[in-house]
Amino acid sequence: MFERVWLTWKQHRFETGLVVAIGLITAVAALIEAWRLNSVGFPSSCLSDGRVPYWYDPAQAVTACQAAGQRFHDIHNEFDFGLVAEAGQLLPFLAGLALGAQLVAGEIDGGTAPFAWTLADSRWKWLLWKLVAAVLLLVPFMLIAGMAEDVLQGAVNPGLSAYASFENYTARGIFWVLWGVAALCGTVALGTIIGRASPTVLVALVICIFARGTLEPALNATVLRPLAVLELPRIHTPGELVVSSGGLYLDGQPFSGDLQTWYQDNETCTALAGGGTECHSPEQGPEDSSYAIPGNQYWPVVARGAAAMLAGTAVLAALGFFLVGRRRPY
Amino acid sequence: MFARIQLTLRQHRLETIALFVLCGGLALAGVIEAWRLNSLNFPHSCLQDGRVVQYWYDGSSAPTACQLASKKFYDLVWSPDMSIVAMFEQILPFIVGIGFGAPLVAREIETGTAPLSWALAGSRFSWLLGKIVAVVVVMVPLLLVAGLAADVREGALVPGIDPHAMFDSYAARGVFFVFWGLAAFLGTLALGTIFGRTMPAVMVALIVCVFVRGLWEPAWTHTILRPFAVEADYQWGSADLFVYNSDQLYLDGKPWNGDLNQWFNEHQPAPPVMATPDASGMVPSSSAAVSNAQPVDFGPPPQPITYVIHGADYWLVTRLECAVLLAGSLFCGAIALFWVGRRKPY
Repeated sequence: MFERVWLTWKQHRFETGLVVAIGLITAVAALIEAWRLNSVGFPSSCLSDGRVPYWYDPAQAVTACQAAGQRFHDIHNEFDFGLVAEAGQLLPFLAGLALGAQLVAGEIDGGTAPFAWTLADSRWKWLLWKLVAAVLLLVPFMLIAGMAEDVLQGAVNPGLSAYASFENYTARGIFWVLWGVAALCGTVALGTIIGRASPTVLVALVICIFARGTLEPALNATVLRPLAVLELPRIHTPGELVVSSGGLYLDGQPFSGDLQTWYQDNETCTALAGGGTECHSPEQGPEDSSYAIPGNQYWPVVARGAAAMLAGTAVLAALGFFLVGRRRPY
Repeated sequence: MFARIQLTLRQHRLETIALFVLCGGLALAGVIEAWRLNSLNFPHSCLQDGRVVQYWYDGSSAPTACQLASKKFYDLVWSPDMSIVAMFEQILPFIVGIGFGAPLVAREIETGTAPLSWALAGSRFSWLLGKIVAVVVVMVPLLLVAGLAADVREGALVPGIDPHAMFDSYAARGVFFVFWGLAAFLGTLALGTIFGRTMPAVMVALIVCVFVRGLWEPAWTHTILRPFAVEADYQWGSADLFVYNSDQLYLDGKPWNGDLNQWFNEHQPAPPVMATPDASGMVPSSSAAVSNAQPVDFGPPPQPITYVIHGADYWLVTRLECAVLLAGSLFCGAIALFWVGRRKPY
């Protein structure tokens, strides 16, 4: 077994090197950035809702915290920091795409598929071992990078555990592994259909962007909706995940009237000395409430999201197996 | 010439079809989203400074008559379909450029057809030049259409400002589409010629493009654009391009070098003072007896000066940046042409 896995890695050594580099470089970079933030030593008494308030706003930040807040935000706003913090939006996909496009499409494209499939007992077994090798490579390196991104998230909000906050939660932690494996299986299926590596990568990239953009709204509207509780306007808990709007509320009661009419009815007008009137809107009107999931529900949310993604990944893998057994090897 | 263009496009028909579908689809989507925004007919009188749609929810800043229109506008702006169109506007030129650039030479080498192609063509230089021209002739107009549609969508997002007089997402729309596409195409072509393999060229090109795109705007604002920046007035906004903040803090227009913590300590409101109980031990109920720490307006605190480039200079900045992109593209193209003449065909 080990030989077969090793052979697959050797056969795709560029892609193997890429996955290793993505995992390790991201992990090291994220840990360095976390260390830089932690070394500011922002006083915990200065935190506002677990976050570092913007140093410059005296209304938010206690005066004694200004200098530390400025140092913290100077690091946080640097470009290299943004690049590392947002790595989870792209790199797991690249790792999955690079491996997935070569597994089947690379063989068909290079003309080695007829030979490889003839030598193997069955095409299914052949693909299974290739997928096992790819997953064995992807999972540890994506997990290392994802956990380092969790450490970085913990440093960004020093008073909030990364596992009790939904900030950026689908771009760190276990989601690195889930995205990588989903991209791998999807690209294998797509590569089996297209049969050419480079177009497979580009089409898969477009699909991955769609999937990345729509996953969170889709999860919020379906599997996560039952976990959400109504939060009245101006009430928020640190680290929460807002899943949908709860409609307009006024003085703690649902507001169903016409917003414009309400504002017109509640204007206060005063006569001006020189004639005419001056009208002022009320300072507070009907406001939007929200359905939100508090941060302490992090693991149930992650479990549901992971289950949905794994189900999708299994469907894509099954499609890959079905197609590889049916298609012509050229 | 026409036959050579047709042959190249037929040879790469999947990439050509993808180019038409992606550019056409994105242009159509951009125009539809702009039409949806425009059909809300957001009242011009409701625009902040006659330019930007204010968030509907902020009763203190948006006039009441504008609340509903603003809510409809932002519901649309934040809808998932609008986000997807915006995301594709960021990446389309790169996908098109890499998609065409990677296989043009690398695939010939990879599949072993390069020796025959190069032997049949009189010179490798003219062989590659013909291929480059064929791709550019198709790619440039299609990317331009998609870029102009992105301009139309941006114009609908900020109804009071001409999209060619503001810097909001300026490097992800308009003519930048064409120049990013050319840079990605010729850069990937050079990589493909050096590597001689498609997949490594695609992967390395993707990573390089992410870095270059991400570093592009900060690199410009840190270097070449600094001399063009002017001091911002208090109402600078999305039409202007933020360039940098001065290191020096200023107070009342004069350089200020004091301790910021100390300044805030000295200027924060006094703590509440409790009234003294009277002879009976009771605290007078009059509200005047208790000094609530009301915020005192000391004016703006020490702050840096912000330097921006005004929207009126949109074309100046665009010309400069596009010229650099074009120079980089030509350099990469020259490397590809040089390398293809030198390398082994396998």
